[in-house]
Parts: sequence; structure tokens; C-alpha cells
Amino acid sequence: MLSGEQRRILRFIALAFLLIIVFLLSLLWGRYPQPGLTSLNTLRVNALAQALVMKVRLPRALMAIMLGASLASAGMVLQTVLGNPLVEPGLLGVSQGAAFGAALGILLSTGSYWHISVLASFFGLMGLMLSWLLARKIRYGGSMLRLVLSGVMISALFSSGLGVLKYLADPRSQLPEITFWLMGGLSGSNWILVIRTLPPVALTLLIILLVRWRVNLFSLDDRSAFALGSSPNRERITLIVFSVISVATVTAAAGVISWVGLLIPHVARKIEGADTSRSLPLSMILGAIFVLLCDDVARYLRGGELPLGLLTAFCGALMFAILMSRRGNTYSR
Amino acid sequence: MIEPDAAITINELFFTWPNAESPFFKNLNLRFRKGYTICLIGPNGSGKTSLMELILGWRRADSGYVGIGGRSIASIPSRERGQMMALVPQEERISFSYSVLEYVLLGRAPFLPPLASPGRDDKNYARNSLDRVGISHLIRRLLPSLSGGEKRMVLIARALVQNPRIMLLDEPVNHLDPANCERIIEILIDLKSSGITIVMSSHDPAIVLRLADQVVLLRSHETPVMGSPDKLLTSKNLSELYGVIARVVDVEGRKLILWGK
Repeated sequence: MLSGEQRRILRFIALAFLLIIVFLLSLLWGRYPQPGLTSLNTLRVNALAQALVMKVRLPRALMAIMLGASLASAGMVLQTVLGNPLVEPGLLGVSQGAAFGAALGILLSTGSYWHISVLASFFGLMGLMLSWLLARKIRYGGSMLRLVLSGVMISALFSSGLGVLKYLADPRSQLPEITFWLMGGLSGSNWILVIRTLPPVALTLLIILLVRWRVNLFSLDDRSAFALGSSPNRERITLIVFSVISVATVTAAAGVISWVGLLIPHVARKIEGADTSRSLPLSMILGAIFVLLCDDVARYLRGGELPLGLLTAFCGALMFAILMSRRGNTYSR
Repeated sequence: MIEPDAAITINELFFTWPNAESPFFKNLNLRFRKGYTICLIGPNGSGKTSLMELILGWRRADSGYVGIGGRSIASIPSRERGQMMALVPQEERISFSYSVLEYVLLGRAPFLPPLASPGRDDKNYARNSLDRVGISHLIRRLLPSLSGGEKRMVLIARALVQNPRIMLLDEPVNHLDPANCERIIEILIDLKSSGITIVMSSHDPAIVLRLADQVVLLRSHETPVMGSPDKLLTSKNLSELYGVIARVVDVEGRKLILWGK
């Protein structure tokens, strides 16, 4: 008989293994030379297929992994430290800020990557900053309620600003680009993008992984966390900032991808329980698998390309509804 | 200022609520001895919880000194503070379905380096303290499935895992049925005998009479009075404190308080 701890380790290894399998299959999966899996034989003889795997599918799969792991881990951290299971990175003004920044980038330039990604990261972080500053001014509720409330307000401000930008955009060239970016996708992935995205994402995810147990402390209210020998304000803000950096980085590269940050942490908690020392690493793995699979569908389903953000939202909302309506739900709120 | 047998010293403390005009505590001076059980009693809003939060260091005074074992609370690093002093709140917001073991293990946070997770030793600590509180059978249960009394005992177990010299308990028996009430009192008597300094608040003078070595009577905007329970918990004092007629009577060697006419 295996003990609970051994079973846990085995399950974790199995899921990590599953991620590797999905990753390898994604490299062979596509519409060239024929729709479906590329056989290893074809790959050996067909130079174009080799180039396709190395230059297109591999960077794209790596982007999908970074995207999924970042969104899911940020979702888990934000839900835990804000004590609210319905939070996702889209709250706190990050996503709307980044979307506004990207639209501004498209409007100002001819859509060069640098303009879009730098402006998206900048406004994403600014969304968080403004939410945080506004939260300090609100005279109502506890610190977490204030942060969520001001996040909603800042998000609304940015999305109305985004509406103005869409109104001003050239309907033939700029508006479709803004719209596609808002739906999100990985079609622009290449090695340069991977190299730009990897350092900030790897660094922030590593830091979050290292402090994964301590994250638990901040699901308590401030006074209790303080009584357990922590500095709740400082440590909570640090965790939020690291999460937002990783989200802003992947959002700048792939557009707004919703529902991953909400759904995956719930699934991880269902499997491993609330303790973030186990559910946080699991969340990263599951997020990566989920986005890889969605992206495989997105680039296969039609000759062209289905926006990834649409697929994650559709699958995410559907799975979330099933998860929440199942019996034996023990969420207390 | 430093007294070797004082666990908690409060000197010339002034405390004002944000946006309030006059100070809530004016020139407060209190000295709690090591190993004593001190009960804070007073009506709602008389500052029992605030006084505990000032001792904990969670609230900062306008001026004056709060000392723990001869050191100013403001000068004690947060980890060390967590190893000295534990708080048992009346209730705690629980947003996620932690298991009892996972929750109690959070009490080891002040002893673990920032990057560490609890190990075998920490789990043994948690098991021992669950045992001491008498709820080892709940170890695998999820928190949302527990009753109010069981949750209160989990909070006490988590505080014990901190191995504190000082324990602050906010209304530990409030809203509990008589059986759970008795169990908490037994646990507190056990803690008392192990030499922990206990500061607790209570609305119930009958419980105070059974546990307290010293009593602090708190009334909002007035100087608190400290003394032995026998001296302070009189019919006259209680009637004045709560604004209803109170009579302290002896029944079978135990003191009871009758409220109203």
C-alpha cells in the first residue's frame, strides 16, 4: 500500500510526464505536410517539416507553456493572498491596462512588436499601481476588499479608454489588429519572442515556487498573518507584484488570454487541496497543459487560425461551470 | 523600566483611533506578571480587543511604551515576535478548504526560513498540540466542515504550535455551548499550569472568576482598574461597568453573577 505522501509524489510525476508528452506531441501536430500528426519518418526526410518544427512549432509550444504556467500560478497566488477564490489576473486592472497599452501601441505605430509589448507591460503594471494607490484612498472595508474594488474601477477606466482608441482606430488596418490582440493568440511566436519572454517569466515563477508554502499565510486576514510573525502588507504586495510581472510579460506577447487564471487554480485545489506548497506547482503544470492543448486546437481547427483567447474562455467557462456545480463542493465563502 | 518578573509592561501609553478627536487610552499604565492569567473585562467597545492588539504590536500607540519581557514591542523583529506571542482571535475568515493539519502547521511560520516548507518535526509539533487540545481525531478534516467550537480549538492548537510565552485570547468562550465552553476552560487551566502568560478578554465574569489571577476593568475613555478578581468583581463594580444591576452570589463555593432585577 502506498502512503498518502507517496501517492501525491507519484501523481505529481505522472502529471509532469503528461506535460512532456503533450509538449512533444504538439511539436508533431499541425496541418503540414498533412493535417494531423507528422510522422517521425516524414520529419527525417522532409527538410521543410524539420524547419517548421524547429522554427515555428517549438517556440510556439514553449510560449504556450510559459503562458499557461504564468497565468495559472498568478491566478493561484492572487486568489490566495486576496482571500478570494474568484479573483483572476484580469482583476486589479492588469489585463485591461495591458490591453489599453497594446491598443495604444497599435494606434501609434504600424504595429511593431516593441511598441505593443512595452506599452502593454507598462500599462499593465500601471493598472496595478493605480489600483493599489486608489485602494489606499478608499474609506471602506478591509485592505483586500479595497484592492479588489479599486481594481474593478481602474479596469473600467482602462476599458472605456480602450473603447475610445477602438473608435479612433482605422477600421481597415488597425481595428482588426486590436481586436485580434484582445482575443489573444500565439500565432506570432518565434525564437526572438521566446528569448524576450523567458527571463522575466522564469525568474518570477522560480521565486513564487520557492516561497510557495509561505503564500498560505496571506490567505489569513492581516492581523492573523501578523500574529504568525509576518509583515502582511509588505509580503502580500511583493507576491502580487511578482505575479503581475509574469502576467504582463506573457500578455504583451500573446494578448489577453482569459479564464486560465481562474479555472486552473480551482482544478489544482480540487486535486491537491488548498495548501499552496502542493497546489501551486500543480497549478503551473496544469496551466501549461491546458494552454498547450487549447493552442493545438486553435491552430488545427480551421485552415487559418482560431483566436486562442476565445478557446480558453469557452473551454474554461464550460469546465468551471461543471466543476462548481458538481456535488461535494466544499468551498466556503 | 525593566522588571525581571514582568511579561508585559505598558507605560504612559496614549492611543487615538484614526479620525477621532480625543485619545481612547490616556496615560495607560499596566504591568502583567509572568505566568499570570489576566482577564480584560468590560462592555462592548471598551477597548479589550484594542488593548490586546496594542500588546501584539498590530496597533501602534501615539506615544508611550509597550514592552514584552523588557523589550519594546516595536523593536522586536517580526519572526521573533511570532515565536514569543500568539493570538487566538474570536474567529477567522477562512477562504479555502484547508485541512486541520495544514492550518495548524501555519503556526510554524515564525520558525521556518522564508523559503522552507514544514517538515517532519513541524508535523510532530502540530500533532502534539492537536493532542493537547484534544482534537487529534479532526486532523484530516477540512476546516469548513467543523463546528464553531471545533474551529476555536483549532485556533488554540495553531497558537500552541507557536510555542509562545504569551498567549492573547479574544473572547475564547463566546458563542459556545456549555460543553465546548468547559473544554476550553480546561485547556486554559492546563496552559496556565505550564507557565504561559495568558491575556484574555471575556464578557462572562463567572469564567473570569475561575481563571484569572488579575482582572482589568475597562470602560471606554476611562482609566482602567487592575486588581485581584475577588476585590474587583463586586456587585457594585459590575453594575457600574455594564449599566445593569448585577449581584455576585455564592453557590456551593463558586461565585455566580445574577444580572437584572
